[in-house]
Amino acid sequence: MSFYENNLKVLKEYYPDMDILIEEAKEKLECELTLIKDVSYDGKPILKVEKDGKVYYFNGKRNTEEPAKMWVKGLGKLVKNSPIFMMGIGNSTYLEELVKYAKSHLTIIIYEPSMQIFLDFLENVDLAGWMEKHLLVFWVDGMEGMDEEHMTGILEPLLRYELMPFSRNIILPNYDMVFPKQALSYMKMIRNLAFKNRINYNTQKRFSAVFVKNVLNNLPYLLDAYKTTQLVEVIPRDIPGIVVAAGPSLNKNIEDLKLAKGKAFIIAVDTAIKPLINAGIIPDMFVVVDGEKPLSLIEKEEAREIPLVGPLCAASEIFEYHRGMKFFYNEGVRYAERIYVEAGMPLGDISTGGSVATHAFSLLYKIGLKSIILVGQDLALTNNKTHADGTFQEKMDELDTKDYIKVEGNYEKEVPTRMDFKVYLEWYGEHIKGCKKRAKYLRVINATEGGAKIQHTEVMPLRKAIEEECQKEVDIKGCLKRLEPMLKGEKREWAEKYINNIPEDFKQLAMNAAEAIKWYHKLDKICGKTSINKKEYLGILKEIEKIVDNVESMYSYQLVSGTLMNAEFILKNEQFLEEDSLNKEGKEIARKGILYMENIKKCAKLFEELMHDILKKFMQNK
Amino acid sequence: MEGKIRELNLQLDSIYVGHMVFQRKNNIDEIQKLMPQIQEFVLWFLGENRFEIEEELYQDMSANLLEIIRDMAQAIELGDRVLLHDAAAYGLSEYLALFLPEKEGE
Repeated sequence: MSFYENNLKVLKEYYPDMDILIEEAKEKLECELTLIKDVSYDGKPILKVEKDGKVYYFNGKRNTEEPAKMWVKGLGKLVKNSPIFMMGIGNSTYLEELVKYAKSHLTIIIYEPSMQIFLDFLENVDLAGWMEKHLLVFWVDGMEGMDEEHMTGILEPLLRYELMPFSRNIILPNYDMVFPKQALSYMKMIRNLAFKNRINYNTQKRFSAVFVKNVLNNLPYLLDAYKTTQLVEVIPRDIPGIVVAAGPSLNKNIEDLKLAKGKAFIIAVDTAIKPLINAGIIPDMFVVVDGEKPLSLIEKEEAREIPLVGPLCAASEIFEYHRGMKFFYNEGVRYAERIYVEAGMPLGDISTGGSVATHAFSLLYKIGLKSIILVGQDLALTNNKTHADGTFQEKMDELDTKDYIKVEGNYEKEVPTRMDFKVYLEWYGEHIKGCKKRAKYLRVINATEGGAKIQHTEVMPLRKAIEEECQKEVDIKGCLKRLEPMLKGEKREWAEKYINNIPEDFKQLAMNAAEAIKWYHKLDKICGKTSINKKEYLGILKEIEKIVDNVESMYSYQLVSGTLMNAEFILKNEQFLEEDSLNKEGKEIARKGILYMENIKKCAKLFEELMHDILKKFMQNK
Repeated sequence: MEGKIRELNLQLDSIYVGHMVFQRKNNIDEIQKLMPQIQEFVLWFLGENRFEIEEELYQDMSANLLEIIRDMAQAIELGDRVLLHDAAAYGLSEYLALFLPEKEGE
């Protein structure tokens, strides 16, 4: 059996149907490169590639192995399951050396932009031993299903924040010359995913302190609330949706919005509420997402009755101040999910995108509206301001933006932007592209009269967009009145009892954590002995695993672990480090386990008290 | 000349490490900057059979050195970092090593 046939067999074992996909791609193959096989001075096979009349070496002709060996040595200690990202397989010695060098099991993701080179690789190496030792993931352009979207899905969990310090990345020499576009987009993708995961981690860390406070405070509001999925039942789809964001350009066309009132579903971000009300425009709904949004941004009597959309983790002060209809979407809080299920509501919900406005956009798309108009969605510092006047300040400060990143503008050649705005900008571009693919009818108009250009949108003045799209009268208030809260009668009674029982749940969590601590102490004790009774060791580990599973399955644990993000990061990060002996390893497991469970116990007790107080206050206000 | 060779060797070594271990993409620019020194060494080597080795061997070595230089020139022209590193690290540097004390040349 040839290497090629054998490799297909091996790949099939790990990835069912991959052999078929390779064969199909091979049949359809259009050769864009000329592969030149040669032999090095020391008799090893080497590969050269001819592209656009230029020949590039992938292996050196004098020494084919040394550069790969040096690279691998330079990687330092590779811990178990470290993700290694590699672009290019044209010089297989890099992968070969890595496989040989790494003692621990690695996850190696190999991106090869040329199917021709991948096929050549399969003809010349024996993958069987390599695949046994490590997890090799091949992503080859030209194979069905291997597109950027799928790759993002594979890479995202591997670029987890706690794994980042252990990950390694290489673009094989000359790949950036032969495949410059692919190398750039590959690097961009890795960079963006890493950046996104870092933002997520930092955001969670930043809000972890207020997250639980908000969720617990807002949970009782679910009893009389609505779920965003209910909007589909009452909002007509033949009207446009308007997202009013609070970018600096909002001041330019805010007055024009009056023309759309009663002819569109106008949804504003929290920060745009004050300028809108001051201009005499009451939006049909507003969104709040931020856990620390100051109440002062929406503190206007008129705002109290405007229907509000948000996640449970949004600033509870705003929900407390607000008196109107409250719509929640599912952000994965397990207590809430249990209630949604009881209420018969679907769990699936809106895509976030990171900003309040992206939430609003996603909501309008999910409702099924055929056109969405963006207003005040600058995603840039138009006129050197971050937000519209009348939001955070009556007159926003002008900033010095000469060192800011520049992006293409709607009306200007380029505009300054911030990194977070740029992430939202890219999210919009990708999201709208995906939305349009699924909903061919969708029209997205960017009526922001300034700001950054959002891909896949039509740029148009707001007045013209309203003339074209707002053709039909609609009474959104009347539509919303037709909705009933998601919980009624017995279901509401059940939910009330369920929420009232949450303090008890935290109490149970603290007890389970105490039980785990007891077992970790036992583990520590037996690992202090010179010879360990393996049976006893494994028995204790099994017991610990059972208790930890029990702890982790509790809904209350989700809120506690979210608060302990830093502790969790340290422990998760350390779990990739291996110890030399069973004693050391056992003692380390015990040390970390006790530390973590002590924190859980303390936290659970605090939350038990907090929830008692919240429920007491809620009943009094009622 | 020994001092110049030592200096050239040191500079090249640091470029190799940057290229192989740290994946720096600028070995072409950096080696190109050293071309006058490299050229000086090549002319010096070709000028005289310094070790007074067998003439045939010396001629072969000279021909090989010229091929190395040709590869380096071609690599610089095309932007081929692999060929340039190969020719410099496993070609030229071996010649430099001949004129350095054993430890330094390794």
